[in-house]
Amino acid sequence: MGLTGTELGAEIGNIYKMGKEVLPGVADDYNDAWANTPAAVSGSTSRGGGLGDDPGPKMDALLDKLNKATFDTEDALRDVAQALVWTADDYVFTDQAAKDEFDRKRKKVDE
Amino acid sequence: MTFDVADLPGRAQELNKAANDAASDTFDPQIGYAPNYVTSDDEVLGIYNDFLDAPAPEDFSWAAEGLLKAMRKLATSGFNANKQGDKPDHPNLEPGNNDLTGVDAAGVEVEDWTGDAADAFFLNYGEKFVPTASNQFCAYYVLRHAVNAEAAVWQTARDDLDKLSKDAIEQMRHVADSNQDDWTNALSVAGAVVAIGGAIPTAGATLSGWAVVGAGVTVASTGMGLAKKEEKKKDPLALANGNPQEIIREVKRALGEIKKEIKSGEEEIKRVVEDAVNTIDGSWKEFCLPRPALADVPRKDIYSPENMGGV
Repeated sequence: MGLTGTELGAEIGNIYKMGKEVLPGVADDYNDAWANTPAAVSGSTSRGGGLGDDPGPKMDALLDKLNKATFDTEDALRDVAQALVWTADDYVFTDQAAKDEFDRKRKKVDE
Repeated sequence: MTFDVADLPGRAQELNKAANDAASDTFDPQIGYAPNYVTSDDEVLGIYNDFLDAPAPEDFSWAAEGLLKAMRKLATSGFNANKQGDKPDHPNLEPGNNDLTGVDAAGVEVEDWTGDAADAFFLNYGEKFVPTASNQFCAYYVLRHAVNAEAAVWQTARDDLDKLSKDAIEQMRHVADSNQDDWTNALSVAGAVVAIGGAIPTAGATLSGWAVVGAGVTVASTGMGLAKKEEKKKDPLALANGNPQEIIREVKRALGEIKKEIKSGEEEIKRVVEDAVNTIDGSWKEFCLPRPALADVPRKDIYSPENMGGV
């Protein structure tokens, strides 16, 4: 592709925005989902005397998977976001014009 | 308000007293008590014991509400947040979360970079993120409805126990009435509500297993769903011209019917949840994308050719 100068700076600016704003926002959503997912419901379904067919343990098994999926997804998104910010921060030092354009875009994102 | 099963021992005591009173009314010093009028104190006082620690429907509210909050975050498109018993012609529509498409957009931004990690992120993570979120949403959808169905089972059971235990006392008090017709069929057992809530909104989801879970949902809906609840299935208990022993026998039979309803309802709920677990177990990578290589690149290597090689 060989982008340089202003074009490269704009592209890096987009990468920075993804890493600084967009992916952290999605990670926050996943954190909310994880935080609102119960750890278990079997405490509420428990009963004695062999009454019914307690579905609590099965529900807990599904909750385990939901908790793991949302937790791991948030974790990955935050680390990818960090990687994109590093990319933007470090890459611009290879090209002054790109750096100038990136600085301009970063200022907009950080405002 | 939900009937408190802690009231059942008191109801059993009232029933026992009414049974003893009925027996006393028949006592004749010459011939003793009337046949079938003497009941066992132990049997009557313990008649509701199996239900004393039945789960309370309100104990599931927090879980169902938490799951709905999570669903709002993972919804890739709008959805109907109604639960069992809500009127189908009054959908409770919730919007999708547009933030989720941001991961795909990030992948597009990274696409022009030439490193292996950047390519892998675009192909294996960004593009697959929204369909994976849809799979996660489906699992939340199934579980929320299963939790609500479980609450409905116990709500129905408690309603039945409340009515049955009150009606049994009244029936016993009127056992010697000349006209018992008014009390015939006074005891009834309503079917539990276990409809899981109709078809799973699978828009964008890739796991084929949701069709299996959805099929389970349909079975649950038609097997014991709202239709039967509305019919209020009457259990024709033969109480006309009854005597105390017969009334106790019929109460025990009605309790057995309630137990059967609870068991069959929970079996359906358990099966649907188990289907969801199996669906996920068979395709975990479609339910939770593998951690992208980009997430683990050290800063000093971030724009090496193996990672974000450049544009």
